[in-house]
Amino acid sequence: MSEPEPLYLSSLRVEGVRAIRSLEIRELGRVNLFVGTNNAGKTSLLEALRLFAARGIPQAFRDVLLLRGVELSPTPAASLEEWGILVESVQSLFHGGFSRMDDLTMKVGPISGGSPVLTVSLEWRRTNDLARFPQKVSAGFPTLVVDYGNDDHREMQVEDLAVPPHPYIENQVPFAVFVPPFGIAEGRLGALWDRITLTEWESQILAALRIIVPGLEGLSFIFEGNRRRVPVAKLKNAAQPVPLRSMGEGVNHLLSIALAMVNARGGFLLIDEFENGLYHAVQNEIWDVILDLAERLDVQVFASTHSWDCIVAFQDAANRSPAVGMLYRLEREEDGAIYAETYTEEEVAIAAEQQIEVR
Amino acid sequence: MPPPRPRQLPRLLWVEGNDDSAVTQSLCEAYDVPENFEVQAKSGVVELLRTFVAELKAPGMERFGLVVDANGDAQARWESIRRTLEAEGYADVPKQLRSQGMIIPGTPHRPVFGAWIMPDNSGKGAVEDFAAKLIPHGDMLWNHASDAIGRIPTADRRFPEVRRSKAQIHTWLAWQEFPGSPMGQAITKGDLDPKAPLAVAFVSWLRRLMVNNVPETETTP
Repeated sequence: MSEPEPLYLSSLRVEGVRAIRSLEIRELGRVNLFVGTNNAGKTSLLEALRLFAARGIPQAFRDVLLLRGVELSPTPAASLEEWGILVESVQSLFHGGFSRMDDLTMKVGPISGGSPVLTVSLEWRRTNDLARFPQKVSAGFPTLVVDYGNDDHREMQVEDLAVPPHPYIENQVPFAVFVPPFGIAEGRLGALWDRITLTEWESQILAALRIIVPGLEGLSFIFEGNRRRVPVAKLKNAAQPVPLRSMGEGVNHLLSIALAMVNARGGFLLIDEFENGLYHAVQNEIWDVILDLAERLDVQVFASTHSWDCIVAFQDAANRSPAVGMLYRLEREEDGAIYAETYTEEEVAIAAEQQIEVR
Repeated sequence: MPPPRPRQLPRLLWVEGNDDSAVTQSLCEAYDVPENFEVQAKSGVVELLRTFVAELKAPGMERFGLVVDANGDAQARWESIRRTLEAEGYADVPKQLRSQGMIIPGTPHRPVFGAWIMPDNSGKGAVEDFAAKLIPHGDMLWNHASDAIGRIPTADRRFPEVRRSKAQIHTWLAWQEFPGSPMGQAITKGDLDPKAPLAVAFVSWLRRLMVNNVPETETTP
């Protein structure tokens, strides 16, 4: 199987996703850090990029909904209430879409040229399938119409999102790996580890972890109880493996980021609230790892933060690295559009040195 | 590195150094200019010109101004500021300096911008030359200071000719009732005259930039 062309956006336009009515960024870097007030649209932007990177496959919508805490019933069509919850949560992926019965559209892609644009529409269609949808004949039923560029066209029923994907799809290398606040859940880390263990990437992960755990010699995942696999570490001079989480939140978070990074080869790494659980002293080294791996693994990184320390660490590392780092402050305008104030690497360095606020 | 101190006011004036800051604040006191903006002293013109672009982008900034020394050439100083403004999207930034100081309208994401090139937005010089123009007319000590400096044998003089006006104002300040007051205090004590035309022009620029509603017409050539 040949490697797909690496994803890279040199500019970005987002329309109609969640909190974002519209947003344009004329210039993106290899590593992009986003700041802004809480409702400025940072998380929505990461969700838009996630859907875009996955070309709008059902799994991507599912992941975004699950992460937002939506509980997907496996049989939503069986009850009007569960069906309603599902439809409303899908509507809420669109800007201003909550409980609306008209058609909704989102677009994510470059401002011009480069990679294709992802267009997703939620359309209400009449159905004759009375056996499957007896309750909703008058309203029609919602269909997601997905176009990625000109020749990738798919249509899916909203109900289909509720069905868990086949494990085969789950194990496909995703085009975007998402690191939620406080890192990836331990259970999910095991799956990411399995994709790279005993490959050349394993040593990269260990090297990254040694930033925080200098005596680390090896890493494995073992079952804890029946279901959960948790990371354990072999430490120098220690006879028994030690649970990674006993070494503090920062270690798990760094493992999340490093695993996500090597699993995102040729795609996007999306990090929401970078600073959570990371104490200041290690942020520099973690950014060093991110910038280094981003360049070597063809990963474009999008991260959000609230923290001044994180910004300073980011620009320190960016100055040391050939990878281009950019900072953006998202601001909500009166008309609902989002404005992205753009700072070059040099300008972030000036702000850090002169203690000029960028957030 | 500590985070930036929370800025209380969305209007900010950057000045080249502590003398500029003290002179500005003394004149504001003398004229009761409302304290609705903050004055920050930077460490020199090079740093100031290299870094002010980041402050133009600061969140919520409404009005932003610079007070810098002309040194050798006020027009060249303005030209370097003008290039930064144009790169930041300010439209129709005048090429020519104006004696009343520069005020440029803001854009949707950039603050109203102002610049005053010390001493008077035209010639050479620095804040010391500004202060010299606040010395009351016919002040005899000013002539004495000039004569005294002139009598120093070249071999004994430690400052180059370009710093002569600085030497003269500091000599003059050394001979006041309270010898050696800095320029800002000399304004407060009345040794330097805040009613001098140049001081009036500076305060008027400051008010137009930071206090008044900025009329659009002001900057149209």
